Amino acid sequence: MEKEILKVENIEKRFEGNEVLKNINFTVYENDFFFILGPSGCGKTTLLRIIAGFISPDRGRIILNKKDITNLPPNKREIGFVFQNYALWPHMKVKDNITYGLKIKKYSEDFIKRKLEEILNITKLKGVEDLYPNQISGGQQQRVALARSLIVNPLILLLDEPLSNLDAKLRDELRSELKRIYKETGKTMIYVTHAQKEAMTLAKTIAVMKEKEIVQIGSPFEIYTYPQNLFVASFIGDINILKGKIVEKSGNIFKIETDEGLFYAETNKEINSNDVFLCFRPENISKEEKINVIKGKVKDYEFLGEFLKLVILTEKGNLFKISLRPEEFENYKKADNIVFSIKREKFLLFEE
Amino acid sequence: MKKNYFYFALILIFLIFSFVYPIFHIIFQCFYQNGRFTFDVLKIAIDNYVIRKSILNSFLLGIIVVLTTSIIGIPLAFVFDRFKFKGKPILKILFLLPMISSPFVGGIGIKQVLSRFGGLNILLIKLGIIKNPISFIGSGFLGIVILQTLHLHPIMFLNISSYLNNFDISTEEASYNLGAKWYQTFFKITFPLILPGYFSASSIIFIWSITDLGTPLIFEYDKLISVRIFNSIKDINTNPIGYALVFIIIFITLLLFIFTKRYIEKKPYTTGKTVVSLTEKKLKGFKLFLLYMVLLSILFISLIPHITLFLYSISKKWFFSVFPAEYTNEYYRIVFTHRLTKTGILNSLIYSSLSTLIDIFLGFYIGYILVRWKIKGKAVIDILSMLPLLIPGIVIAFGYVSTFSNTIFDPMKNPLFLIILSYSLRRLPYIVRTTHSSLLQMDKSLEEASYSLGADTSTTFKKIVFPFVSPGIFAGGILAFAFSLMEVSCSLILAIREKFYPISKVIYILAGRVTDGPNTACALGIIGMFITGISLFISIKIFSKKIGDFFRIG
Repeated sequence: MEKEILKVENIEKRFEGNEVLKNINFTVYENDFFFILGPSGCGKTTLLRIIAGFISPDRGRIILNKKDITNLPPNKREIGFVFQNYALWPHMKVKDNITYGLKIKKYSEDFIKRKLEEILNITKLKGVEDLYPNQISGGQQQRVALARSLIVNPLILLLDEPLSNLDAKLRDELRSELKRIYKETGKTMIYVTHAQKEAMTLAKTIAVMKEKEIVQIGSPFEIYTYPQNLFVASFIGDINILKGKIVEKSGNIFKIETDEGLFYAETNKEINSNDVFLCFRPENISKEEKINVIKGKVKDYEFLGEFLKLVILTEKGNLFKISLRPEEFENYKKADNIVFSIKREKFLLFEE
Repeated sequence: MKKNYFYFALILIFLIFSFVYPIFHIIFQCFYQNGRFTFDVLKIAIDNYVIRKSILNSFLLGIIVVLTTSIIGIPLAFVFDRFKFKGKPILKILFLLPMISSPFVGGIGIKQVLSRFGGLNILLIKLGIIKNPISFIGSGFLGIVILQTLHLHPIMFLNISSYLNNFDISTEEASYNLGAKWYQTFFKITFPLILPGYFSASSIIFIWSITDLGTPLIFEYDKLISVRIFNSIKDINTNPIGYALVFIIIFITLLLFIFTKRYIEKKPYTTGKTVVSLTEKKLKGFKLFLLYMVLLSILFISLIPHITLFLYSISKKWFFSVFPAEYTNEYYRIVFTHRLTKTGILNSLIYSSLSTLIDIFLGFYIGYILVRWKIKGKAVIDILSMLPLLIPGIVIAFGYVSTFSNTIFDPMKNPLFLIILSYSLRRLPYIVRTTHSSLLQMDKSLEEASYSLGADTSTTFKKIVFPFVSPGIFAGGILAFAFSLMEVSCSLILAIREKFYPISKVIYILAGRVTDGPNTACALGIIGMFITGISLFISIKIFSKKIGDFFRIG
């Protein structure tokens, strides 16, 4: 078992009577790249600020390295924080921004110099250390913010939407930079974002938040493949949703009636209601099955090289997104007829 | 749009005539003697022991007052910025109250409290704390420090507040996050980031303090640069030392102005990123009680001059007692019936109204030109119209006397023109500031739309531009009017003959009369304060948070 480093227990928080966090529980293990993923306004930034100590929770505990730090002020926590707007100090040069934490801790000048050199190399900031923050690019500012937090070697590093202030190209670039820095430093990181792509590509663990609560925690693979509810399923990746009624059940096979006809779905999940959502991912279709068939016309298509994405309109007026693998490619045109099916074990079933 | 160069020329003429020319005249007189350029005048002034002492005293006074106002104003600004408590908006306005009277008017009241047999001594003796009365005022220096501190700390408060308003709180959090303690964070991060605001407030306070004429005169303390200048005006044609002293003040003022401008513009003080504002901390229980106690005590102490002034104005007998023994409203009756006070009020109303009208007219066009025109030399107008905030009244008054004596504007004959000129110059920045900031918020296309629909310049101004800026102009105009009404330095110096006295000079003259003079002076002061207070309140209501802009340079 990996070493437990941060434990968040029963955290609750209200702002002026409005509940913003409810019963938050999770554990972060050493060397994890832990993502808190959720739409804006779900309380994820508040949660991060509570861990850093900028806000105190109404209830619950924060345990860092087996020590209760809930009532410790932020300057005694040994938790790094990278701010969404970077919060670089405009009156200090880049190198003074970066070495601030070490100077506060009164390390020797030699040590600080060595550490600075080291971190400038890791974050590829060599050459700009004598400039002021407003003289460097957005991507560099982001790396300064990162370097400033990393240099003091915190137990964990919190990142609050670190890429949201950058344009699309820089964001891609910095995402891989972040991954490299994470690997090189081996730092445990908690990363808050609403961008599922960032989470899917970087995370080891993802905690999905919905309106003040964490709804699922797992690896990107688990979250994507076995989403626990419709929210998670539709928040991460594309999904097609059919409303249906269970008409028959035998073992873990469900016979479900929808306005597209009868479908058979297989799941080990316990389903307690007859009204369900029958869902499938665009890529989980096949063209060989005899059951679970959907017929329609191509409404739109997008060719991505490794995938062919189609939007299908059925006679009943339902829209489905599907993506075909190369071996299934055909030169589809608009209004072409198409037939596809879904393997019964590829269905995701959620109670309504 | 066609640019109207007529108004542009008018503005230039006004600024040159009322401001540039008198200043250059002083500098010229200071260095050009007997047909040659020389440093003799400066040298004579500095070699004179009394003058040197006065200069040093003034500097000392300025520095002390900057420190004392910092000690009060900075924590106050932080408390109001960081904490949430009931009555905060009202308290914030109340903390501006000390500004509504000139310190010298408050001086009349506070002398009554601090003098050897004044209220405080009597109280302390009665309580058995002291046996013999203490001379609190001493030579008068301490009295000046106290009054200026009580009067000027709102300027520090306003300046720091407006900086904290736009302060990115995450820069502080980042410091805490890296292990810094609150004092390390304050001195390494917060203070350096609000330094431009602090420096500009300190400059205003320093200059205000060393050039304040009324307060030292009331305390009869003459070893100060301002009083020396005042006294030198009488023999301005024979003794050039006044020029040297005024030059020193101009020099310091410009130095501070340039430094502030440079400092604010050169140093990269903003990241250009979204500002994260903080959630104010809610205080409860004992802490809240303590906060109220501290705030109310500071407020009470700051208002002691005003309170005593009021008590003085309604006291029939006030000797050897903590509070007056008998009350009367007689002095308020006198204010409105006595010849001298009646003339004073009438004169002030005339001077202030006319100068405010000039300000509104010029200020509007200056503001408009600054925002809309692309023209060379715009920066000059910008600087010239803002500098009067910093250039002290005493310098302007001295300049007028020295420049315009023996001309048709000679203040000895009729100071009407010069007083109005000085008032309008000194309060011009208020209108420029408000128009400027209103216009910045008005999109140019609003005007262009009017032109495209066939309106001409004057219609567009009347129907589109003016309605947009009029609330700002109104707020600035009211403030300009109120502060003109209570203007001190120019009023004391330029109004030489009694029939031209404005309110301030009447108060000063009455305060010096032994019998019932001071009481009437206080009553007049209270009336003035009342008008200023209401004007300030209206301005704040209209201009809300930006009120700090009036007391800032740069």
